[in-house]
Amino acid sequence: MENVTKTMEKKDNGNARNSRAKLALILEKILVYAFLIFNVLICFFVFYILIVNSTMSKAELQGVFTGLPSTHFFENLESALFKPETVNILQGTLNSFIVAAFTAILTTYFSALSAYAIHAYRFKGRKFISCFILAIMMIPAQVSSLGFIRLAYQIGATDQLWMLIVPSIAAPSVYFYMLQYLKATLPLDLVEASRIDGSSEFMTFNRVVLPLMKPALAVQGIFSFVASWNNLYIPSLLLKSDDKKTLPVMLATLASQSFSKADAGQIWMVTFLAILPIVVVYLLLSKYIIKGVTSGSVKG
Amino acid sequence: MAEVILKDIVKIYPYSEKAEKKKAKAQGSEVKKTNLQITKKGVVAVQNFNLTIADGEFLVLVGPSGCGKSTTLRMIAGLEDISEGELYINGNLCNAVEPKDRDIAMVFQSYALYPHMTVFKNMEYPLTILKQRIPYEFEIEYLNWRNDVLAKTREKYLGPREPSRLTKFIYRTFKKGKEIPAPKNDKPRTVPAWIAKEEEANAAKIAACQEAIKNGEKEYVAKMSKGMREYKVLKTAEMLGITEYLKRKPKALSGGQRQRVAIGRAIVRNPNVLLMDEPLSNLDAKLRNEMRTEIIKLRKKISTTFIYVTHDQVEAMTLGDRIVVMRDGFIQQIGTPQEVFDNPRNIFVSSFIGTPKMNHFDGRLEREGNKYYAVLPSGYKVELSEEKCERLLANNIESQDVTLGVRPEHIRFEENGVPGIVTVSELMGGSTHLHVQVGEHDVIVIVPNNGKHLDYSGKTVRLGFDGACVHAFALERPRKNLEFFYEDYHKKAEEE
Repeated sequence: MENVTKTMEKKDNGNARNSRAKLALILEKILVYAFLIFNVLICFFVFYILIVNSTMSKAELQGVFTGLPSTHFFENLESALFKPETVNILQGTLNSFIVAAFTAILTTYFSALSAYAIHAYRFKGRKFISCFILAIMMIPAQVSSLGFIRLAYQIGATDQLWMLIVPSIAAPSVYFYMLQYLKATLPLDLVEASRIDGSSEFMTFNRVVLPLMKPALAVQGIFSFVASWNNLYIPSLLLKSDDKKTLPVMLATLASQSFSKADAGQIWMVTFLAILPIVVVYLLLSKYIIKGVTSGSVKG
Repeated sequence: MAEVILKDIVKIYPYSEKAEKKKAKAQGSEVKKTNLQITKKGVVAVQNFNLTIADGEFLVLVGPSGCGKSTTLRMIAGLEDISEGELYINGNLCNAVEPKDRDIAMVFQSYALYPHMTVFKNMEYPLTILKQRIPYEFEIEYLNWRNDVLAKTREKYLGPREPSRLTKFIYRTFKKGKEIPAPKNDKPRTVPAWIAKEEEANAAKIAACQEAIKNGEKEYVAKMSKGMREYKVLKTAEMLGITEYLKRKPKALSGGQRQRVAIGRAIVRNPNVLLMDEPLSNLDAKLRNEMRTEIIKLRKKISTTFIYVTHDQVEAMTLGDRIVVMRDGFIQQIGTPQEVFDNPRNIFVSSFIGTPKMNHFDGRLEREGNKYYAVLPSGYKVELSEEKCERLLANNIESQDVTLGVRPEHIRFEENGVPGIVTVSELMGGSTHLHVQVGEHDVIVIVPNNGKHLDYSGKTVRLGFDGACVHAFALERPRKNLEFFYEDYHKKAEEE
């Protein structure tokens, strides 16, 4: 009997310890989640302000900050789309879309192409070229833009959308990502098999390599689309006429109007419209983005 | 389908700058990691490779890893440059010909299936790109098949109306279990005109083909039509037993199935030469045996020159018409499996071919007139068979110290034999492998079981062998079989 009671006591002790450990785990989880929720709130706060402000009239915006939505959404929408005298928001959206879409396509395709060349071929100077491309990445855009703008003036290509699109063929950081992805996912046996099966080098790339790189292409396509969509610096230097301007440039024009002229509600609305396509793209493709970001690193 | 000739093929991997620096550092120290020849130009991976592979032959390149067999195969495929020498496929010099123009196909060790395509697409891929040789007989076969398909389609149109795809889909997904109602539309159905048109065209084509055959023509070169590709893939898939997987992607297949698909992709376009680079080494032991028999069966069905690379001597023995044993870039011996097994030309081949490997022990070859005797240090003496004596006589071999080699299956118990103690006795099923300690040597003996297993371990046995089964290898390098002294494959290479 004594033995039995002893073992039972032991068991009780064990249970108590167990439940204490469980409690600690739960507390830890609560702390972690609280922290994460706080982070999310901070992230969303910016968007919340943006949306709320885009529903307010000029007078309300100049008043006290309330943080509650107002009723002037459609007024602002109308004034944003049709009122501005100097800029045409719809035209700007179209311009931005053209530039961003072509940039995304060219960047991903040509970066994948050059990454494939470095990965799959053995030629003299391969390492040098590889390093050289990476070295370009170290030069800030502000420095290289000086030469770029001079070039654009010399060949008379200012105020042209294609001048924004074509240079995007050279994208060192995208190239680097593609190279890492290829190293992790493309066995060279596949390339050799395709060669023996009779395809030319370009066919091998387009029909065997590109489909394998789909996740990487999706990710880099979205990233470069967004980067180009948000790009203000180079377009503002290059684009002069109003019907060629991209959205960020138009936004800057609107925001820099004299205080009496500017309609703050309208500006908030344009900002809201400008981020809308990107939010939609992110929501639609978030699955691929996560897949692409992780698959390159995990597979090996 | 084609003869392959390799003439003095040499492969040299040139040094990179780093390696050269290292070499300069390492000079003086006599550490030699590989036995590969290192020359001024670079590391020699394949040395003076001379071989003629006959039309329709199954040739196996075998050797330990790093012996240059894969490099040789890749040179034939055109994936590696040939440093020196000439390669002829079907009589054409192919040194500088692109892989796709060599009319070869290759099966890779890693299968190298395109992961984003279905099995069908994988097998169709080579057909979509290049022009193919299409025999007229094959075209007639295809057209008949196509006509059958058309007839079936026609029947479908004449028969009762089937429910539309949409209704089928709805019933399959939302109304499971319910019977699909017959369509209400009961207008008389017509057979679409394209069926009759195509049948007419096919009949004309068949007539044209038969005419061409009458005129003595055999084949023409063209791109395959979509239907023909489908027929060809289906036919190949049927031959390999992978018809049911055609719609799957390689990811959803097992190793053996992937291997079949890889072989299917290679043979679907009837290549002149089929190259296989260790195709079975990624499979488990049981599957490997199965696939080996599959390859033997396949070989009987298609008439192609096979070149097969393996490090597994069992595969080499069972598959090859001829075996090429390689080591350190040199050919050691070329011959039929039987030849290589019975008459190894040097000590390396003798130990590489055959499991368990041949026993070697120090001994002496003694000549007494026209007779030769193999003598062991313990005094055991065996007269060599007449055939062996003749060969040795022809080479004018005198008495000398040699390494004697006897295969485990040729060692037997003898009353006057050399005594030894059995250390390990392994039951292998039909036979027992004994490891016998004789002096310093560990001798392996295969004893047939004849229905009962006797445990020999710890016992003393007396061993002997027959004069017909003993090989004498010279002591100095290269350690040749003394019987075949003058048939030397690499004399030239050694002189250099």
